[in-house]
Amino acid sequence: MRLLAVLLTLLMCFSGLARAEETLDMSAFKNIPLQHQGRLKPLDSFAKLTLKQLSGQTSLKDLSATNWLALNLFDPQSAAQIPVFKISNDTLKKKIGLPDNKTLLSFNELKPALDKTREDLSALLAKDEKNLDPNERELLRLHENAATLTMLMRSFSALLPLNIELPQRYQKQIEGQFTFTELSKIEQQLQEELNTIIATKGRDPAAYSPEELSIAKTAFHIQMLRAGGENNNLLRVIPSTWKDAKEPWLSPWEVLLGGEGSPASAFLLSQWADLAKAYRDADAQSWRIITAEILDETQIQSQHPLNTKKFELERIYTNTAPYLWILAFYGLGFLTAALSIFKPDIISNKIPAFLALSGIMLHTVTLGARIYILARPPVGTLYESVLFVSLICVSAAAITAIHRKNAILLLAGLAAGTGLLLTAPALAPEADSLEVLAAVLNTNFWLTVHVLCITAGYGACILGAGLAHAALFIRGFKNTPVLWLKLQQNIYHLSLIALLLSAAGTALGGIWADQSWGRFWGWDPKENGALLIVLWLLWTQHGRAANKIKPATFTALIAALNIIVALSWFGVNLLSVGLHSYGFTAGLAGGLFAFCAAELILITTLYLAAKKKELSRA
Amino acid sequence: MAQPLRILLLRPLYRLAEADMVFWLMPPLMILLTVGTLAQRWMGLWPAMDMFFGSFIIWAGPIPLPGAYILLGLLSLNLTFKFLLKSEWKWNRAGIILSHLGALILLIGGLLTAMTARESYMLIPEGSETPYIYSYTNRSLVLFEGKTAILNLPFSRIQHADFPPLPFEIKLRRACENCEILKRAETPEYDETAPYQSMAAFMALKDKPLEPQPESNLTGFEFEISGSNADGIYIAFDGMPKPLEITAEGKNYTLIFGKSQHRLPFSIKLEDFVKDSYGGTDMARNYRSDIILKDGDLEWPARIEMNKPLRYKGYTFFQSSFEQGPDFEATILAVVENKGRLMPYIGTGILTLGLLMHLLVTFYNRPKGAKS
Amino acid sequence: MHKSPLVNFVLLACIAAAAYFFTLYLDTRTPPIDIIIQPEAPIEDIEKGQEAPNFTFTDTNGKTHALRDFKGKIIILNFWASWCPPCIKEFPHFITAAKEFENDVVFIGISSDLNTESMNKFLDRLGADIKKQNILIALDEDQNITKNLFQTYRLPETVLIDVNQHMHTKIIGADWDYAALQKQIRTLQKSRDKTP
Repeated sequence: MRLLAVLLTLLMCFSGLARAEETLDMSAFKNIPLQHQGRLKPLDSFAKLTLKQLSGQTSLKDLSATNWLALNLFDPQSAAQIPVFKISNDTLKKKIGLPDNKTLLSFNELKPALDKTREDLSALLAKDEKNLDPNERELLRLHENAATLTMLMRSFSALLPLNIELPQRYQKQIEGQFTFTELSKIEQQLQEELNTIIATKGRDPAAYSPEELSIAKTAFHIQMLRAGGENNNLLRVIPSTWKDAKEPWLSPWEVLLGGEGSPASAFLLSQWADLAKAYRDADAQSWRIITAEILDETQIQSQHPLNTKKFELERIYTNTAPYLWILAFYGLGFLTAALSIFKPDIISNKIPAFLALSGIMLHTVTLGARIYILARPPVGTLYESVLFVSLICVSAAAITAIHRKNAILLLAGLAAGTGLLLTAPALAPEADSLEVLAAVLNTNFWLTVHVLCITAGYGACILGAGLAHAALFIRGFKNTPVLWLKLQQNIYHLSLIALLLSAAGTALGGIWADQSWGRFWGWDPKENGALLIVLWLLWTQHGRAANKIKPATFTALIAALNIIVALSWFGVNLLSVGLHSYGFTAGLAGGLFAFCAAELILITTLYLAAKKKELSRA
Repeated sequence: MAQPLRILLLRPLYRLAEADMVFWLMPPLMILLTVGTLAQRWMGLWPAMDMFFGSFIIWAGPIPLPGAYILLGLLSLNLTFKFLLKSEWKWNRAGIILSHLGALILLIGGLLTAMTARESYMLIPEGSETPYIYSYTNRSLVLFEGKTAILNLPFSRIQHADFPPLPFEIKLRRACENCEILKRAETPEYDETAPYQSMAAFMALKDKPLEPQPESNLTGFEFEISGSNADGIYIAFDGMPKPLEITAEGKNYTLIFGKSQHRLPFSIKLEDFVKDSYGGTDMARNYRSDIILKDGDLEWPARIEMNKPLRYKGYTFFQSSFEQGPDFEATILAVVENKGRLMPYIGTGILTLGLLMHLLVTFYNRPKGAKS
Repeated sequence: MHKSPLVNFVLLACIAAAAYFFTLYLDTRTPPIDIIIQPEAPIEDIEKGQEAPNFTFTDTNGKTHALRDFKGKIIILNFWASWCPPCIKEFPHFITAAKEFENDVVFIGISSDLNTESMNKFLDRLGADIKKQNILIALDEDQNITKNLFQTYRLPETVLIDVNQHMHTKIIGADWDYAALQKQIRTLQKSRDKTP
């Protein structure tokens, strides 16, 4: 059989299409559910995530993610020509002979380079991930992405019409266009005939008659198709109807090769085959009808009722990019707040208040949507906690600013919120995929109590630190002693709130640990980080009470909370030891260091200015 | 005479109760915390923890620096005397007093835990029952005469060649807390004429750096026996395939070396171990063990899962890990005994209550002038 | 200042004592009686599977049946072929089951063999064992039942159908033992007896 492989350079034996159809109505198709990364989600989210994984963007120049997905599923031959692979590493491009004038490469363009480097791959995989250089890492990633795309293109390879010429005898048996499903019915017969041929004529195809060659080729095609479907578990769109099935959702090939087929799956897959046909015929009407039918049928077959509202919401969520809007509100709010404080005659302070409140509302709704989609508190990952803390900062600032009629509080809150939201994209390396959580973190009660408490504590710290910056600036460069005293009091109160939240949060974290693995305190980095904030707050509080720390110094130390929080929150993730390191770390170290250095310089400058002013006043 | 003496005695205590104690203690504590956390990355979790958080004194070269025990001890003294001597109950002080009391209880709990807590684990294959728990860190040598254990010797004593009198004489040749197993004939000190016995004939032990998890260390030792029927050089190590049999003075002795075990006053049978994954991934959603607890004549079913331990007779059982084979499943439960385990709960409650009260009092009492 | 040391000392001692004794109490407490009594394992409520689609087949004696004809019986619907070694391995188990549960179970073996001869060659070897009322073997010549209707691509696959013609379980492959099949059949018997 292996000898035959020489005869056939077979990547895909599907009949190609003249053009990719863009006029189909994708609205129902987008909402078809599938299981991906441990969660049910709409096809649209899956398409965006996968496209982002390959190309770094969520849509292509003239192809939306969903359209790109449909092309891959139903017309893989055309899809192989669509540029989609992003390779950011120019040295690698040169090394494996890829054109370096293009940002994106198609599967067909990439394939020769992949074939060339396939042999190095096993050596790379054997290496520890830490010891890979950037070139090797990129190469590995490229191969993984190519494998993903191949899987995607082969998802429905059992249902797509094949472009294979059958041996004459079988042409009567199978008429017209046929697919793997029909072909597999004659598989056994072909195999037995091939065995007879090999027994009489040996393994060299050169000796075969044309009919015999055709038999050998067809048998080989079937094997190739089957091998291509083996382990293809990417597109899990078929709910399993057997109650003790290994997986609740299956890919088409898993259904066929895993023996999970049932009358229900046969029906659903026949619908998908019809859909493929409608796509390939560019039959807009059938497409619309069949996508709606598949959506219905999938929901009927799912063993657990599907929450379609959730899908709709997730689709809206992934399509609207609400964080850009929130960021815009907060950023503008910050600018107008600064103007309204220093030039009150130009801008009324109602404008920043309005902007902040709009931002807060949108932010709350967005986080609410996230909680609803994931059915857990919005603090499972580093990225999420940043989103949450920024909301805490801004809303706490807004409330106290209104209560105490102090615009500087709002300014500090908006600054903190904007700054945090700006760092958020760096913390979600892949697209924001709305992940599920590892077992140890997967308890809503403790996530809620402990992590919300701790992150709210971060929020209070950052707000206090922001206010302290403003206070030092005012002390140093403005002559408003009453405002200084007022701010002193606000900062002190905020530091008390911060102490309450972080001390309670840290202790509750200990109780969670005691519940989970029987140790209240294990000197785990994340625990130590949280404790560091508490100790810092205790130190400043007691120093202030014992009159060892004077007001200006106290303010500067509270301002430095920014650094402590950054170290405890992000820095600990860089250490990546222990149970809590759930975040993404690469590239974070530089940013963190730069931030701390900048803050240190800024606070020192402000502090010295404030001190100087105090001396000159005295 | 009594008055000055009392003052003389109390004065240092009053000094210890001052708020500036905290001011002085916090910076070294924060430095210790930071350095100790960073060190975990480079030294490994356990050595760093022992060095920074489990010691009285840290030696920075020749300079002794206070360790966590000293700093936390001073902090505890400060809190204790502050609470005893300087905490007069008044409404506006109650928050502060309570939060200090909470912190004190947390520290006392920590002390109790450090003194009484014992962590071990038990491995139960599906369908079987066991009363034994094993230590993560400690290994010991058990010597049986016939079927009765006559000696249980921890490895820490073996390491120091501290053997009690035995029916035959044992001489330590080498001990390694984490060993590498070599082929005997390939070791440099191999001596063809030496009387290597049993496994020692083809295996030798060599010292190797410790593993990050103490239970993964392969602890072992090489020793020489004389005064028995089969004198010579033997080795014993963790998980050795079969015990050593020795005859001396007409009696049969069995030597077993391995993780120190301890018998629970009850036993646990594993009925079923279940690992739930998120659909379509290998990522675990939850692990759980359905067990039957058997104590004397009583037995009842219970479930242990992630974040939901079982507590019984002072032992707490946590779902810790599992082992899986083609037709074999076993659960690994962490077993913790800790007399101070209630302290964190009480302390956290009082601490939080106190801070909350203090916050409210501060807000309520703030100068009204600042409001407008 | 004079009173507080004593008051606070007593307070601290009380808390410590309370915590200590409560810990001791928890350590010696036995579980409440109601959880000690082991409840008898309840009869498993059978989840209703999907209804099996009806189809007709012609058995080796030339008689045509429909699946619906066997309503009221537990059906073992087996997809097999004589060229598939695991199918041949598990086949005798089904025959044994059909004999053991003669009154309740019908065995329907749908074969994907290439022709009647190769199928019969295998069946002949089993001898008189399969000449039973409740053992029906049929050749699925165009594989419409096997592949189009039941989507069976990995022989052997077996569907257990309950008395109401709902598909209860699917057995994939031949990697199972007879006791497991017995257990499944008994569960189906029990559920039938429960629903009049």
